[in-house]
Amino acid sequence: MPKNKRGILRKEVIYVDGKEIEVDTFDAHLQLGSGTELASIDELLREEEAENSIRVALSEIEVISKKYVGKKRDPWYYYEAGKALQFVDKQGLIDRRGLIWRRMGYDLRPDLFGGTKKNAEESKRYPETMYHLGKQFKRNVGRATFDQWYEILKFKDIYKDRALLEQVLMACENGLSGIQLRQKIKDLRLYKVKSK
Amino acid sequence: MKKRSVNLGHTDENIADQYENKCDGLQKDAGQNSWDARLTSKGKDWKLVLTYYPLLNCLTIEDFGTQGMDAERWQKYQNLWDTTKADSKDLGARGQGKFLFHYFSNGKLVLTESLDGEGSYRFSFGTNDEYDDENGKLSDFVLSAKPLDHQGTRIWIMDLKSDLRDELLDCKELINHVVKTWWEIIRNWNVTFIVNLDGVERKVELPELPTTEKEKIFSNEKISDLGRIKVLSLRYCSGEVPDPFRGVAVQRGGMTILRLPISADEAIKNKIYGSCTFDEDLEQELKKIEYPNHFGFSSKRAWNHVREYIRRKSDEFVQEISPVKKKEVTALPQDLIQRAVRVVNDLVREYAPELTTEAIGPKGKDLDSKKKPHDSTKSPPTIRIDSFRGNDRKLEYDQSLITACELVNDTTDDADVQLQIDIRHEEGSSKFNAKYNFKLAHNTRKETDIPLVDFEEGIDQLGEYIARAILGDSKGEEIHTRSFTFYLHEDPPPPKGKVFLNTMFFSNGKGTPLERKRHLPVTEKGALRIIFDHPDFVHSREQVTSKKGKLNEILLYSIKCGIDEAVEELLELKQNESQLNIDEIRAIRDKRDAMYYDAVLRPLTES
Repeated sequence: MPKNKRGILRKEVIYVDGKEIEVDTFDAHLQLGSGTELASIDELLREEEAENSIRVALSEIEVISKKYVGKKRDPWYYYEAGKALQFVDKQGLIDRRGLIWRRMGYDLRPDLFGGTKKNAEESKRYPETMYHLGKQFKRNVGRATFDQWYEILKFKDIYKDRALLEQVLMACENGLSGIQLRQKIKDLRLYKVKSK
Repeated sequence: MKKRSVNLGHTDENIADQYENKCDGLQKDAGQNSWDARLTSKGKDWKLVLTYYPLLNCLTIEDFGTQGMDAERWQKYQNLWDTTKADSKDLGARGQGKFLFHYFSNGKLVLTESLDGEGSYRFSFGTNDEYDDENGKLSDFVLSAKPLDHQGTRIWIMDLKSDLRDELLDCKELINHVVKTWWEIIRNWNVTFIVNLDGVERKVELPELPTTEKEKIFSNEKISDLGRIKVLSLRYCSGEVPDPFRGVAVQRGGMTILRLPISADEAIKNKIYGSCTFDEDLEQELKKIEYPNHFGFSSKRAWNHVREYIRRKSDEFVQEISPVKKKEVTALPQDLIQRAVRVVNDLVREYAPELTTEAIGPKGKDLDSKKKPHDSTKSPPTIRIDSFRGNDRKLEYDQSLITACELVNDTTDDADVQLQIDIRHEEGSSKFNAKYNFKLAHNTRKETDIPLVDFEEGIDQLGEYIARAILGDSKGEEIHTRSFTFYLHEDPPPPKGKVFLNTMFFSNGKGTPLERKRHLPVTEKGALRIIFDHPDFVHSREQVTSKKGKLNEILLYSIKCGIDEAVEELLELKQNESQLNIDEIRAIRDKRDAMYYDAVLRPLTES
């Protein structure tokens, strides 16, 4: 069966009888005669599965958010919400997690993911940070602020290198943040590569 | 050359996948193996006993009045696809059905005992991967069991899978499967099937069928150069025939391979049953193209001819019983999905060409406006060819062209007409040319009976063929023509020009004004938006649990939406042309029914 492009449900504005209607539309569609009809339906079911999981995760995150009213920059909120986002690993949706973050943070509940963003691309960053923060050891979560974690987790797979992460967290505890923190991480990585 | 290694680990699953109903498959394969091994041709003292032992959670299949397996048969039995039955008169052909037995067992463990005519007892235990017939005995596995003590074979399927066991232990259902498959040998030779699944031995008896009101028997009918139909019997009963017996049973060697549904209104078709048997030649031809699971035939020449013959005779029979017009049936190629994906556009093109502006002639060249087969600005002739189409756009050498052609006389007078059918290769060589004279009664439709056209390698040129139907009046003046193109042993080019429908989108409608709609109207670009969370759609998806089933449900639902949309468009078109009256509405409704039938019902009943 030919592989189809991975997709998701997304909001779309259509016109019916001259009226504008916003609907949720699947990316998967049937192109008759293309020979990929069954693969497209397969993809359609996959998108439906993803949507159902998204709805479940959102309801969990909503409950979590109520525990952290007014503390939306609390790393513990993002850590706990990040745990709820681990469904992408469990259900083999890692390869479409960008689309899932977009669906959650842009289409459905931007309020749970740092508020409405200018564009869909930007809206993916918070859920992505949450997702990675959810993978951290609980003992480390409180060692950096949310903004610091936001910077740290921009570096792909940094958390997998425990020694490096330890050095970075120590830098955070010493008050490094923003551009300085990013520079520090770059330096630490470079040093590590050279010392190899 | 190096020998390829074979991993037999999943053979049973792969083979089981061929069976829509595994329990039906089990009884069919068990019966077929035993019937093939019967001692006498009429099955004297032949008996098959299926017994379930709850304490052991195992099923035994034991036959009597059979040869048992001698050394050679024993060896072939232990192997996969190792059989000489393919060229014989036997029912079996592939040597794979026994692997279904392993599928029923949790540990894939099957024990086999056999006692041949010389009194040699053989025992084996094994999975689909391996077997051992030297180092074990029955009591190693079943302590209290005595070895087989009569000529024949006994198979033990050990530790049944729980889901299959529950299905298998539905005694009534299993007996139903046996009856509908083996009714002929039970009736003719009085053979015995015993089902004992709950400690009670139940002999399989044939149900009483309602009294026959009308019967038609056709015998010794020649089918092309393939052989003869031995007997085709059709019976119309006073009451409804039990579901498993409806339709025409296609028999081979005493076993029902499939039942061809009768094409008629529900009230009539539920009262008709029949069967068809063949002479040795035709049976052999059919055996070659029978599916390995014994539940059908591939769409090759022999089956096409037989199916068409049965269809024609059953249509005539229905017409004799009732003047009500039968539902139109079109022969379609076998593969469900290929059929389904083409369905909407092809059906619209066939049934409602007004809805497509495609104007493609041979070689994909646009036809000029004069030659457009359907110019929506011009009303069609009152006496015309309403439909003219082949069974497939691509045919292979061993396949047949099955042509459907329906004539209409919309006038208030009867008319004598002449229909010429001409089929020729694009380079001009004629393949088929025939003229038929008809008397078309006023305000009627008539389906014509055009013979099947076979194609043979080395004789017929591959490539594009054009089939033309030319309708003339009694003076020979042309009234109407229609044509279609098909390709022999060559892939047809993709359709060009505008099609009615090319893309289907899916959106959720809940909480929006689309909540109660099944789909939106098709756009000018041929896009149809289907409401994915419409309760009807959700319900049809929930009816099936398997993924494959879900895929099919979605596809079929989508196609139905496409057909509904085509019908609505057709109604609008007729309305705009002021042609919409009660007859037209009925005709459109009939078209919709025929499209549904072609798209959905027939693939399901045949698959």
